[in-house]
Amino acid sequence: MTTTTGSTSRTAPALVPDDDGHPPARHFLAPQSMGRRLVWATLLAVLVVWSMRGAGVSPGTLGGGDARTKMAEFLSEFVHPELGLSYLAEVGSAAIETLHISITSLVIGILIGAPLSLFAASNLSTGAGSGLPRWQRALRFAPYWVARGILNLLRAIPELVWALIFITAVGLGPFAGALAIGIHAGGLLGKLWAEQLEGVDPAPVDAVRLLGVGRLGVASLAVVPQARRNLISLGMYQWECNVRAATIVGFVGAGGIGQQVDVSIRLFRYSETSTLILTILVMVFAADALSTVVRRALR
Amino acid sequence: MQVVLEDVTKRYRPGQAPAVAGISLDVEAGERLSVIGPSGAGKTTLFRLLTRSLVPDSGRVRVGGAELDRLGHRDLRALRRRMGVIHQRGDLVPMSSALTNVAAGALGGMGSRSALRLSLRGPSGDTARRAYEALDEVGIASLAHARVDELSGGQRQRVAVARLLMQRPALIMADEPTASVDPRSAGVVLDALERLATAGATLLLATHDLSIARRQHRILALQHGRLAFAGGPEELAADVVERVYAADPASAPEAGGRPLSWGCR
Repeated sequence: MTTTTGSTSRTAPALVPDDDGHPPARHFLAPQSMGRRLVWATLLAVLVVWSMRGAGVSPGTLGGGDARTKMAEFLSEFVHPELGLSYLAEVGSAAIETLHISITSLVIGILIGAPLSLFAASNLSTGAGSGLPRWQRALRFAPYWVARGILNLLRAIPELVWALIFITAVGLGPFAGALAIGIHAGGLLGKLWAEQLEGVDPAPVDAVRLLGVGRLGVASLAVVPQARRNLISLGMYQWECNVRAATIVGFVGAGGIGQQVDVSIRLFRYSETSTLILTILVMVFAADALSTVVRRALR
Repeated sequence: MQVVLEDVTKRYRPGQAPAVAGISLDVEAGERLSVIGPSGAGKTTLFRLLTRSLVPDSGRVRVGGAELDRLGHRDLRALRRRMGVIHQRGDLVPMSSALTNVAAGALGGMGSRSALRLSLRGPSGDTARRAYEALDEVGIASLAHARVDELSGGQRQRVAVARLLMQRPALIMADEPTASVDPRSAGVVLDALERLATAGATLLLATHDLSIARRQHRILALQHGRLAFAGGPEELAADVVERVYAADPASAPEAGGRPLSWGCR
């Protein structure tokens, strides 16, 4: 008896239609039958085993004699970081270049992501609230799909690949790195911002639209003010990611501290690698702390 | 502004019972009409059809002489500028000041650039002066710079009315504007709406409060999306109200804590 009551009370809310009279959707976490669960578990197990075989997982190689001596060699030098003043100055300037790349790429990312996010937010699309028949509305949604497509493209290609592309265009150095990270950041920010814009309370947006205000007016007066805090917070988070990415693109010659890491590993100067990794750690922690402070100030 | 509906039907989902079923209606410019009926009777749907936020499945809607389904994007925007909508919950933009929200009411006639300027710097010049005046008219000029989400429900509804005063619409659709506010604010809201109507605007007022409904020229009663009654306040008999609200007694005037009041206040 108790179990029956329990299950009805759990499924009861799902039976009530929402305000617009739409029938309820069954939640994907709703209680399922034992057979279904077994099928899902089997599928998941097959996926994991298949992936591990594909990735060439073999614990023997990792624990083998050769790997062990090399790791020991690396670690013994690693605990003695290179702290010579001239080397530290070199690392410092590379770190500052990394910072420059991260900030420049954030600006590039905002310049790309902000306009695209306005088109990629469905509630700001030309078709939204236009009261047109379905097929005409679908046509008006064309810019939305184009913007979504561009954002996906920018995001799907990794920063390192963008860096290689820009090195052939503008040559080795930090500018190629900033462009590469900026483009990728634009794709990410555009999508994340569009989602924030879509998530705002629709009632005030409709109210402003019904005043006869145009799309830019609706965006700037009704949508962005509601999402402002989250937009800034995501921007700060993106900068954090850019700092991390800026330490990587140096491996392919696109400036920043990564270039030094690459050189030190190739020349087996593990004590220098140690200094560089510690510097990167400090930078990433600092960026994280700063963005946390800013985000908290917005609350 | 004149409003004409001809046999209008709207279903939210095919196969579902219609939210509005075969309604025909003719509202003269300057007429004051109240719409009563239980929750889900189709009052809100009716308003959303008039602003073309919804497209009817069949039938025709004419507002101010314009056939809505023949209007292009621009013409629809121009028409919407002359329609003022106020909901039970003010629908103001949170995180913005009361003043900015009110000033937005004047935006319909301006371009995108003034919208951008308003959002970045707040209102200025003549717009700002008129926005202050509108807030003063509803008695909350002192709250002009308060953030809307920090105001009480009654204060928010007054801001929404000030926005309406700023917009100066020719057709007002008020969807239970006093349902969730304190009595004093409700009085201010109704006075302002009725003053706008006296100045020549057409007023459509959805309400469960019969004393308010009876103050208008004509009363419509909706039930299951159909017109159950249409006529002057003196023709509305008690049994009509009982029959209309029988489908959903929970939203009937008595059940809402407000006694059925037949006299004028």
